Amino acid sequence: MTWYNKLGFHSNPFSIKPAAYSSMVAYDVDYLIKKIKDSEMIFIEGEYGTGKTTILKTIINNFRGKNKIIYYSFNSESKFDIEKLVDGANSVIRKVTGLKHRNMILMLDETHTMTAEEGKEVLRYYQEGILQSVVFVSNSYQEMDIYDELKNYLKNNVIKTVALNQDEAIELIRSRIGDISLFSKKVLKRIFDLSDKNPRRFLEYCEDIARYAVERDEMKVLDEHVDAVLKIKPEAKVEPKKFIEEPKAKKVEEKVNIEEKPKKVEAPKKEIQKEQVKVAIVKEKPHKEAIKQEPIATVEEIKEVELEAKESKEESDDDDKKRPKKFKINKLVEGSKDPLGEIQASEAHAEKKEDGKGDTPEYKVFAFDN
Amino acid sequence: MDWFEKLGFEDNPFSSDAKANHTALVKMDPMIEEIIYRISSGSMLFIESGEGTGKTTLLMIAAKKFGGSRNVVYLDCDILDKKLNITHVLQDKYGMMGRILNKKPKDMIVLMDNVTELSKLNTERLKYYFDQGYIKSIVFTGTSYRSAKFSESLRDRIGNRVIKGPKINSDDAVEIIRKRIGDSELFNDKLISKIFKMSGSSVKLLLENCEKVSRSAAKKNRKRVQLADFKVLMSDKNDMV
Repeated sequence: MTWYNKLGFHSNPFSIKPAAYSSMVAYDVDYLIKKIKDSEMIFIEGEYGTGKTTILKTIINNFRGKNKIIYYSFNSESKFDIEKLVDGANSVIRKVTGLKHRNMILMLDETHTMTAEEGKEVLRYYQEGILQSVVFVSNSYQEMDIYDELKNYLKNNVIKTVALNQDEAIELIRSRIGDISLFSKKVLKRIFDLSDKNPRRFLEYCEDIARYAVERDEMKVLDEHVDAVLKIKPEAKVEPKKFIEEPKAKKVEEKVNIEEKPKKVEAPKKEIQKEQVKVAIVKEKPHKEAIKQEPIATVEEIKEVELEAKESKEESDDDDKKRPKKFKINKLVEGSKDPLGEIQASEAHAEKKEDGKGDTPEYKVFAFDN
Repeated sequence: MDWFEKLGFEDNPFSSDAKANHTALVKMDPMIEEIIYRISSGSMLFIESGEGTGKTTLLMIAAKKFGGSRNVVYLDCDILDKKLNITHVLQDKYGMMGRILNKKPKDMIVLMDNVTELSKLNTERLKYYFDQGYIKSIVFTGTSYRSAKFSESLRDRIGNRVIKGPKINSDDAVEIIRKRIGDSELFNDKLISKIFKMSGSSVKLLLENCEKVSRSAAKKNRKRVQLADFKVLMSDKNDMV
């Protein structure tokens, strides 16, 4: 029985999959969908983990089944060929008869490698009416080489996905676990501060900490649980330590050094902690030492990591004030208007199936290019 | 008569076939538990562990645990050519028709063994299928997470879910061999430790070397391995040089 079963959840409530929490997208997707329907092009920019995929997914689901959506990622190996993409979305009959779809919606992911020339092509298809709308997704609008004329179409529709702020983060967790008193606001704020404003990291930490607490028969997460999971070892859980420890070895191989034992036992633990906290907090910084170095992390190193954690906390607070929000928060309401209702329903099915009661869920095929 | 029969075994006790001997795992229980939990709670994780420490075996256990409904895909990336297309792999569940209809499965568990790099295309596919829920969990294994050629966005999804394998020490090595040969007099513990050291602390090499010295002993019709048999290992080393 997993910790979330104990709390009465069927599946992990802190899943990092956008599908699992898209009902709580912190962005007004309706607004975007309206823009698409109004034949406007949109550019979505934002850092990793700020919800770009979630927005894309929501848009795709909104138009699914209508054979209108074309998806292409510039990360893919196949060369960008807009004619092929548009053709690929056409049915056999349309191919035979030479009829072409019109009013398609093109989703372009990872466009930071898109060239101005390719942008020009896209614009041509848009102007000819084959494309009703194009959604560009990239890390940064500024850094891109965009065809000048295309810029005119895009400049008023650049949407920046921003990192969660504290309140949204708390709201995110509330939307996942309801009102159960597992996390206090104060604890959540603390975890959020430690997660570099990255929702994925935040959810991961929440999962690990909740698991740690519940496995210790606590129904409330305490500061010490956060400490145990994030400070000493983000991977958490007492048990996994065992496979890193090697107390037996000492006895046989280095009988003399028995005093060193505790040190050795803790060393790999700290090592992991250091590495992982770094991954979480200073993502961009490569840290070869952390892996190459033989274990035995010193206390100083640990402190350094904590310092970094604090620094990034301060930074993020500053960021919050500086960064104007271009986008209004609007919660999607569950129900008929929710484009994701369909998926959630089928997910519920899937769960039943696991219990051996439900039916096989049905999936609609939608034009999704791979 | 095979060498192992001469020594009183029915099979090669040092086989490193991952499917055959997961009962002989040492120090893996907490890891197995962790992996099972991560898979069932839906995540991307990376198992980082040296060669021959049982990564494949772990995946086999996971496959067994979650298998049954054709929901588990195991891919050994070491032996796959570059043409791997995750989409097709996932669609195989539905056979040819699935491919034609572009049918996509739900909640698949993908086990990718020995991943050193992922093409951009497959990275995108994996990310997409994972995010959309077609894939429930992905387990990667490799000897080093740092040096794996993964995109930043993939790493972001893996986050802190990097599980490090156990460090096998010579005590564990003795246990591993004892589990396989029982109380047989073939080696004493000291010899096992010695072979382990000569194998550079790799379990895979340990097994291979144990087999070599045992063969040598069997050849000479002895039931015990002696230091003289270690010549086989030495000459091996020379060959390599």
